[in-house]
Amino acid sequence: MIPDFGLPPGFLMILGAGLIPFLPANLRHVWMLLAIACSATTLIAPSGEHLLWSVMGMELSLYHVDNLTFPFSLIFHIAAVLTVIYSWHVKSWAELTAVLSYAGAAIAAVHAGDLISLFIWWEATAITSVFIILAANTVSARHAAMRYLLVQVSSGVLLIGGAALYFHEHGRITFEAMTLGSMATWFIFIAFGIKAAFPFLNGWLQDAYPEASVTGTIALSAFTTKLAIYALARGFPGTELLIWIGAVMTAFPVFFAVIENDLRRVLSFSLNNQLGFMVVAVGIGTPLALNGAVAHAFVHIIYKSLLFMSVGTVMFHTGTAKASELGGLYKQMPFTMICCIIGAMSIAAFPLFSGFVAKSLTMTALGGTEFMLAYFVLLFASAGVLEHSGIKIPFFTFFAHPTDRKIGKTPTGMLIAMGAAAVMCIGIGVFPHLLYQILPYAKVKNPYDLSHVTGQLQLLLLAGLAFVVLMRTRLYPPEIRSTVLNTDWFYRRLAPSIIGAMVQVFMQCAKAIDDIIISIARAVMRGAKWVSEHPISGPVIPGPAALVQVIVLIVIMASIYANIK
Amino acid sequence: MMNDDINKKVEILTLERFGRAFTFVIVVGIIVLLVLEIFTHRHGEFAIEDMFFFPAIFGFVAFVFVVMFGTFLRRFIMRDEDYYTKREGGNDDT
Repeated sequence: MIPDFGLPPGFLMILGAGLIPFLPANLRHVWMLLAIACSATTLIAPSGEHLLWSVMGMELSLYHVDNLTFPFSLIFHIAAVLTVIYSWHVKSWAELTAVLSYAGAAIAAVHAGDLISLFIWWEATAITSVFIILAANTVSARHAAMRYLLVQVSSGVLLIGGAALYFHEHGRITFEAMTLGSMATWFIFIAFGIKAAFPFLNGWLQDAYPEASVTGTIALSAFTTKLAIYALARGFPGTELLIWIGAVMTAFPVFFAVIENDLRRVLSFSLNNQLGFMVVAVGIGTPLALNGAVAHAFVHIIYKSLLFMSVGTVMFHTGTAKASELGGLYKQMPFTMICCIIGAMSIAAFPLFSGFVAKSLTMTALGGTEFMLAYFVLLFASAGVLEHSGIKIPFFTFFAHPTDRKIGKTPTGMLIAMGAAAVMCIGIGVFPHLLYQILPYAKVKNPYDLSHVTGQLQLLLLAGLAFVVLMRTRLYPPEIRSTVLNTDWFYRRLAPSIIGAMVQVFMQCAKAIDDIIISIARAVMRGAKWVSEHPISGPVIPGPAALVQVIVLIVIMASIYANIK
Repeated sequence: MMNDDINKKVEILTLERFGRAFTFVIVVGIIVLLVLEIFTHRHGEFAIEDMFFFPAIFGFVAFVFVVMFGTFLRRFIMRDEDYYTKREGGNDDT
């Protein structure tokens, strides 16, 4: 029998989150796992509409289930569990409440069958995730949270605007496959694009995620962007523009990641690059490609969480995630090092690791199409992934140079969560059918053939050799304490500078006009004084004298009035 | 103090040994792939990929380009660490 709580999936988690502040600290995590388990029972619900609600002549679908919702809902529940276990040592009710409600909102959004419900949960993910960033409780986190909120709410406003226009055009609000063309679909497309971190809309990701706490970043890395991928897969499959947007997304972050010093920011650039692969797959739109997008999102949540957890554990002990200050921790943190390398090999798509079985679907789907350029951009980006996530992260964290840091005991929850994620990375890589059987569309064949395996190994090993050559010839750039400018520069520096300059010019103009008016008034006053000091006397006709006085008086009144204004 | 120096030198030697082991694994792997490339038929998604050792050459060149171009970009997009924080406020105070 299917449990029926009469509530959409994820909603129970949001309700559960509301009770966290009132629970004793040692019961909070158990409670969170219980809430996730209750929500997870909805995973066995069959395809269809399970909760409809009529509001103002519109039928909201709050509990929609189909082949596409299932893998996203499943991985979101898994990610929530991993986050809770990893943060077992965290006592802050504020962060835990935000994490559980954020995960719940993302799961509820996946099951929204109409654009209005989607908007509600879309905004809910924005608001709840802001509190995760704020929970870091630093000044820069507070600033980043405000910028993040501004961007995320903009996405929501575009979505509701697009939904309203779509209802006006089509007379329905069903969240269905759309074609780009009208203002409605463009609004919705850009709303999704903001959360998917399209080029030039991506600054918020690298700005905000590294500002969250060690545990908060794990939650952030899992939900918002993959919710956007889900939304694109449902709303805009086969939109050719996405192929080119995705190709740019895969390529340009790799250059930023090379020179970025903050390893959590490197992982955020890497996240952007991985989203590019998924966006390309959605753009291709064939069943195989869409399977590739879903598979990539699924495995990416696990290995990206693992990488963030590894770097987070290092940061938990050392207080920093900066490559220039880390290194040599392989001896002090061997388990974390192994987990990090597993995550790195997964994201680099080594055979027998989860990234390989997912990425080969997208590459196969792209192969043989007319988009050869996009294919080679993705191949190029694959070498870039090896550089920033495959080598840079583990190398500069655990090797690079010796250290005499003393490392304390790592909380058990952190170790369990990393271990579980590492096992999943290898498990899916070795037994890809476990993943393939939950993919939404056509059956997928085994990716392990000689051509795929040797081709991928050639790419990766020669890229690895390039790293060795660059290191030995000292051409590999040293890590430097710095800030790398990203697209958030436009609203953090350029826009304030332009607005500041405009205000300054406006103030100067106002002052100049004021000065002119004052000088005219003074001249008039001087004239009036002169007239009063030189009274008209002698044999004159009274008429003209009175006229002069009246004119002077009018000018004085007018200038005073103008000055007051 | 002397012990610290010795420990540091041992650590450096250990890291160098790791580096050599890493290089060895990579080189052996490449030799195996080269042999496989000669004696088996590998095919790619596009015809150009069927060229001898194409993915390997592509991977090497792409990696070097990523690193070199990224390093070049430092001139344009790298700023001091406090570039934003000196205007927006500190990043460590609570």
